[in-house]
This record gives sequence, C-alpha cells and structure tokens, in this order.
Amino acid sequence: MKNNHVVRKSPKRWQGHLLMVFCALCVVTISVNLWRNTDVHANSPVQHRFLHTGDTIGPLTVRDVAGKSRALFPAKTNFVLYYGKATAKSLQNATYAGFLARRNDNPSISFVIAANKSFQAYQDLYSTATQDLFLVHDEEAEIANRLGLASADSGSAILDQDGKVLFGAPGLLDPEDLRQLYERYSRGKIDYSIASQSSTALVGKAIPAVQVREIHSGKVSTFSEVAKTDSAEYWVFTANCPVCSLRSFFEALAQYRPQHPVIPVFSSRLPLPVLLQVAKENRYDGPIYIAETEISGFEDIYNNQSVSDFISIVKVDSHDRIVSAIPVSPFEIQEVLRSHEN
Amino acid sequence: MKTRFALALMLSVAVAGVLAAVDKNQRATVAPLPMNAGQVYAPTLLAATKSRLYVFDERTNRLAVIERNTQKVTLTGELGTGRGQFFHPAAMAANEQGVVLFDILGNRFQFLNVEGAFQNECQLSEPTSSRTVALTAAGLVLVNTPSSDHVITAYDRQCRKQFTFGPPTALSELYSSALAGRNSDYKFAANRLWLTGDKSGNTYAAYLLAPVLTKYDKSGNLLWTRKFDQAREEQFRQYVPKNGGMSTGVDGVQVPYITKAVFPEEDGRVLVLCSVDLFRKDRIFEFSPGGDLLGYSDIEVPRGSLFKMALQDHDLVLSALFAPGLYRANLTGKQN
Repeated sequence: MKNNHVVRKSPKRWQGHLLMVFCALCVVTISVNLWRNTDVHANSPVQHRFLHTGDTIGPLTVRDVAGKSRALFPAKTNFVLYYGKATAKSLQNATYAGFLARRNDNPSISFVIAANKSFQAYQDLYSTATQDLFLVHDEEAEIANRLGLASADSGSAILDQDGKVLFGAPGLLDPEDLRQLYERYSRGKIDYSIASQSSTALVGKAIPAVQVREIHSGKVSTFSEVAKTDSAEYWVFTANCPVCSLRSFFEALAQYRPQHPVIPVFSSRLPLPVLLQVAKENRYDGPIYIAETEISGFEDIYNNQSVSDFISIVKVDSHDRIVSAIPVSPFEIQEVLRSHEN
Repeated sequence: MKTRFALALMLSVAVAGVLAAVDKNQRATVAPLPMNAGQVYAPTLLAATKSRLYVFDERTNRLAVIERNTQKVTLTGELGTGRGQFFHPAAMAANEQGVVLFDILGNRFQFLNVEGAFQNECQLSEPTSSRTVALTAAGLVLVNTPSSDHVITAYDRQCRKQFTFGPPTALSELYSSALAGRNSDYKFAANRLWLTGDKSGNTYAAYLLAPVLTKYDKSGNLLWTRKFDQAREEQFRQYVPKNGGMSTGVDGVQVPYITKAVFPEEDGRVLVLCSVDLFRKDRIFEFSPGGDLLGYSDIEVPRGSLFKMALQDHDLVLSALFAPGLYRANLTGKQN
C-alpha cells in the first residue's frame, strides 16, 4: 500500500518539481532580458558608468530653482554640468560656466547646471544670474543617474536635442576646455589664438580697459583709474586654475607687502567666497580688486599659456603703461622676486 | 663570513661602478626648440621615431606630428571624447608602426598611424590609473597597473588583456629597510612606473620614486634590476612633505625625488631622466643593454623642471613644466 501510495503520488511530485524549475527558468529569463534591455545609465542607483560619446539618454523633465519645469533638451546643444561637491576648484569652474552662460547669445545652446548635495553653494554662486542658465537642484539624483554618476561626483556632458552624447567626461571641466567646446558648438570652430599672448610681450602696452571692483567697499572703477590714484605695484593674479595657487599667492604677498606697496588684482574666474576666505585665513586686510567680468585680453593675457599656474607681477607707470610683467609660478615666487629686486 | 665577503664584494663593485659613472659624467646643454606660433601652445607628451616627433598639446588637445627632415608640422585631432578626438590623454608612445595615446578619463586606447591619422580606439574593461604607456615590437600596449597583482599589463589593439608581469614592490625594497616605516604611505606610489619598449621586444620599467630600473624580456621575464644614484635614499629619509614639494600626482603623497622618463637608444642603451632639484637640475642616466651604468649628464633648464622627453638620434627633446615649450638637449655638450 505504502509503495502504491508512493507510486501514485510520484507524478504529482514530479509535476510540482517541473513547475518550480519552469518558474525559476522564467524568472531567470525575464531577469536577464530586463537586465539586457535596461539602460544601465538610466535610473540606476547602483551602477555608475559615465556616458560615452554616442550614447543616448532618455527624455527627462526637470524643474529649476525658480520652479520652472521643462524638458532637459530644449536646444540643439545642451551643456549639462553636474557638480557633486562644492570645492574651491568646482566653484571656480562653475564661475566660468556662469560667465559663458551669461555671454551666450546662441539660442541653439542651453546651459543646465545641476547639483545635489552642495546645491546651496551653487545657488549662492549664481544668485544674480539664474535667468541665464537652468539651475537644477537634483534632489532625486535623476540627472546624475542619467549621466552615469554618483550624486557626489561631478561630470560634464554635451547632449544634442535627442539626448545623444556629443561629449562626455567624468570630473570637472576646466574653463579652457569649456571655452573650446562652447566655441566649437556655438561657432563651429575653435579660436586657439585666444590666450596665446605672452605676458612679457605686454611691456610698454597700456593696461587693458577692464572694470574692477574692490571687494570690501564694492567700489567699481577701471583698472586704469585704480592705477592712476595708486602708484603701487600691481600683482595681477590669473592662472589656468587660480584657486590652485591662491594660498601660495597670499603667502608670498604677506612676505613681500610689508616692504613694498602691492595691490592684488584678481581674475573674475575666482569665486568670491573662496577669495574672501583665503584672504581672511592669511589675515590680509589691504584692498583687493577683482575683475568684474571675464574679458578676453585680461583674463588670459597674463596666463602665459602654461599648463601650470602663473602669477603675473605687473608694474604700471603713471601713463597706464606696463613697465614690467613677470610671470612666476607660486612655488618659486620668492626667488624670482629677489632676483627682480636686484 | 661568506655573506660578509659577498657584501664587501658587492659594495666594491657598486663603488667602482659609481666612480666610473662619475668619471664619465658631463653637462648637457639645453636649447629651446623653435615651435611655430599658433600650433603648439603647451607641449606635454612627447614621443619620437627616427623620422618623426610627436608632440601632444595639452591646451588645444591636438597632436603635432613633426617630420624630422622637412620640419613640416601636421596637426591632428581636437578636444573631445569621440573618435579621433582627444581629452587630456595621460600618456603617449610611438614606434615605426604607429602611435598610441592612453585616454585615462575615457579609459581607452587611441591608435593613430605614423602620420597621425586616426585608426581605431578601444575601451578597457577595467580602469587603470597608469601615467605611462609603451608599445612593444609585437604591437602590444603596456600600461602600469600599480594596484594589481602585477604592475605591468599587456593589451592588444582591441583592449584584450594578454598577460601581466612584474611583482609589486614596496618603498623599502626600492631603497632599503630603513624606509620600511613609510611603506604603507607609498603603497601604490612605489609601484608607479615609466615604461618603454625596445625594438627587440624588451621592456624597460623605471620606478617613479626611486632610482631603480628593471628590464623584462618580451615574455615578461625579469632580466635585471639596477639600483643607481644611491645618495637618494638619504634624501628620502630626511624628507618631510611640504608645500610645493613634488607630488606623485595621483596617489596623494609627496616625494623628494622622481624619475620622469625612460627611453631606449637605437644601439640598445637606455636613458632615464631623473629630477635632482625640483626647479633647477635634472639628470639623465645612461645604461648599457646589460644594465651597466655608463654615466650621467646634468641638464639645467631655466624656469622649471623638465618632465617629459623623447629621444631622436642622440638628441633629447624635452618639455618643461613651468616654462612651456620644447627644448633640445645634446648630451655631447654641443648646442644645437
């Protein structure tokens, strides 16, 4: 009986096992297919592989800080700059991106600047310029996921109106790269001659007519006016990465300034909060001028086209003419100053 | 007793070697190499063959191919992450078969023909932080993999891993056990290499933060290891990281000393460029194919430290960190 019972129940058991195996296979098959068909860059909180050129990301509607909602790709070319953290370097690069966005008069180009955890720092940075760029607080990390980024990382992508990646790189996009990319997509070609002039070639020429603002008093004047009222030596501080050598600059200034009247003039690429903080850390209480706008011929002219960062020590005579312009790296500034005095 | 004798013998040989090297040392003259205005703004990566010099411009992300005979300059590529576009590649190598650039941010190899025309690219399946790339005679691409089980990895032109070689080391092995206390700080930095291949298929690897050169055969078997410039150990022992010190760049540690490049000559000799003083003086050591130290040359460059070099018919072409431009050094002391 027992055996018969077993024999009778056996087919049902086999059927049960077969059903379980079948279900398991179905689950595996569906999972594999889902995995294969899923865009790993989209809505994936775990996998982060930054977009490659030629990839396409799906449509996305986002809301900017002003509450305006819009599709991510309204223009032919969309510069999407994602800032994971707020560092001196990222704020500096974002400052330049803001300048480009303000200057942009090509309606086929749109700037989207997004941040997640450090959004407030960027909102402060663009407090006067939100109308020129689309500033997004990416709270749900939707944009980060689309780019293939963790929300604490930074990345940059240029997308066409269909969301196809024209350019994509993880990390921060330096101003010079951003400038070149903007020129290519706004004008169809890149002007490499900008920033090509050596600072030493400036000797004898007039100071560029650029507006500068004294950051403590807020007084705006031209560099030329400042130079006329003050017969001081000007240290014009520009660099490919100004924040990278800002501390060295102030350290050198602290050592040199007691004996020599020196007025520092800073590039507009420096984010004001960083400049104020470093000046305060170094107990610098003298006047500080910062260029009001990024103007070709001022920001880059002292740059000496270096891959590293130079400080230009510029002396100006009473006729607004540059009498000397010494490019110097922050690491050797003391030595160069000594030899210059001799 | 035998050990002491062996040590004494080794010491004598080493001292004799150093003295011989000092006798042969010389001072190289360095002269700027004219560049056409508007073509190359900030040369960084360099590579050379007998007939061409390849100069990568960091500012414009273009590659300049300079014909040796005619000095004709051809610019190729542009800023970008697509095919035929460059985005701050970390390393470049060239031989008579072509050029390879390692795009570290895009994690890809880009292959060009000898004239600089784009051929193909491939994506590495796993990221590597290599700051060097070498081409072997067999057409493989070598990169430095400092955090792996082997510090050199060979790939084919489709980015398929072929083999790995070179065991990881530690700071104390590169110098001496006196520096063992710093091993953990320099765990990855100690395994950073400059790589180059010679025409026989051998690979030379110079350690970034120690004067140590190794040679491997084409299968990745170690042929020899040479430690040179022993005085650097004391420099390292006394070093306290400071603002403005040399940095290994990617590993977050500062060092008092670095090697900067390694390059084989046509006759099989190999040169290693080392930094002696951050802003003033570099030194080029010359080795025989068998690993004997033949001598060294000091070179001085105004306004900054040299950081890349290529060798073209006994002339070194160099680029500098703080004074952008190309320089040529002639090791015979004759200025070009």
